[in-house]
Amino acid sequence: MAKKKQAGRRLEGWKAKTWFKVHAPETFSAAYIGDTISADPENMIGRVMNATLGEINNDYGKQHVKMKFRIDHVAGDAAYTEFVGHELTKDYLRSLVKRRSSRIDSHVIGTTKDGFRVHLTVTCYTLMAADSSQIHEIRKRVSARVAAFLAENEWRTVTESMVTGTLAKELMTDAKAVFPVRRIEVIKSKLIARAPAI
Amino acid sequence: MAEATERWGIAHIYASFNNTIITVTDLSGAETVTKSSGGMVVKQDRNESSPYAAMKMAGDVAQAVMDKGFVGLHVRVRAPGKGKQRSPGAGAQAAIRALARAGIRIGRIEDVTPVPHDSVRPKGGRRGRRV
Repeated sequence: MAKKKQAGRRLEGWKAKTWFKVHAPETFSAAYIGDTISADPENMIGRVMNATLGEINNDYGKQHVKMKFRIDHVAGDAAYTEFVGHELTKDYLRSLVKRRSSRIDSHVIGTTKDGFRVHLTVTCYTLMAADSSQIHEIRKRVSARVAAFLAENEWRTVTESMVTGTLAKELMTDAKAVFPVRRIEVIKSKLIARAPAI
Repeated sequence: MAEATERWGIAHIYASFNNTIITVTDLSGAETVTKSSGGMVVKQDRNESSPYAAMKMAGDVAQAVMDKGFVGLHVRVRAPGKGKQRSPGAGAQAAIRALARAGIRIGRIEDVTPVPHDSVRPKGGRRGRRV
């Protein structure tokens, strides 16, 4: 009995709500991500939607890139988002780790040219186990290159290049000079603070 | 506008050894559509985590979800993680299968078990669990 009553109440609440279409930012050509439901558009601001790069670009090879979009404004029944970070799926990362090779994580916190403060995690997988001096050298070079890249580019270009892998390609040349590298990947990014309003 | 597109949601399935909890939300994860747990479908506490309970729960969930106009669900499976076991319990598989059988389309299936980079000491003490 009690169960039934509750169900009735919930449905009413549900009916009072309306659906909104959520769109990706301009960087990803404002692609449609999905729907969300809300009683009040105000409530939606700050919600984070997840989408893979594969879905947005219709590129099935990119299903392992999960991107986070935060809703920042609502117009009519459409909601618009901003990119707040990405992550590679756990199973993909696990598949890259092999025995008898090193995995070199480096965390870089930097500010882009237009003032966005971001945190990137870059991981480098070597062909065989590297010495710690080599690991340190790779981490140093990768961090320096990423910091330089951030300082030279705007947040928009940074997101594009790290998500599609062009930044990783650039880093590859740096790391390869030290030690044979199998794979290098920006596995995670996070927007810490937005640019101060001009 | 709503009819034109296929509506998807997320099914969060938390499968431990003692219970299974299914929560269905919209894509943002902020709005709960429906939820179900072992205790709602079986009488005995020890059956809460059984595949049978998971199947029943998935059936209920599928019904509720379809009533609200969803065609498919992405699935996020989770085990207790942290200091406890990191592989999902018996209910997870059964729940996903039952959802698919009920006519719901299954999108991405992902494991979102929280895995610490270090960990607390597992229970059981230095000499392990003695039975």
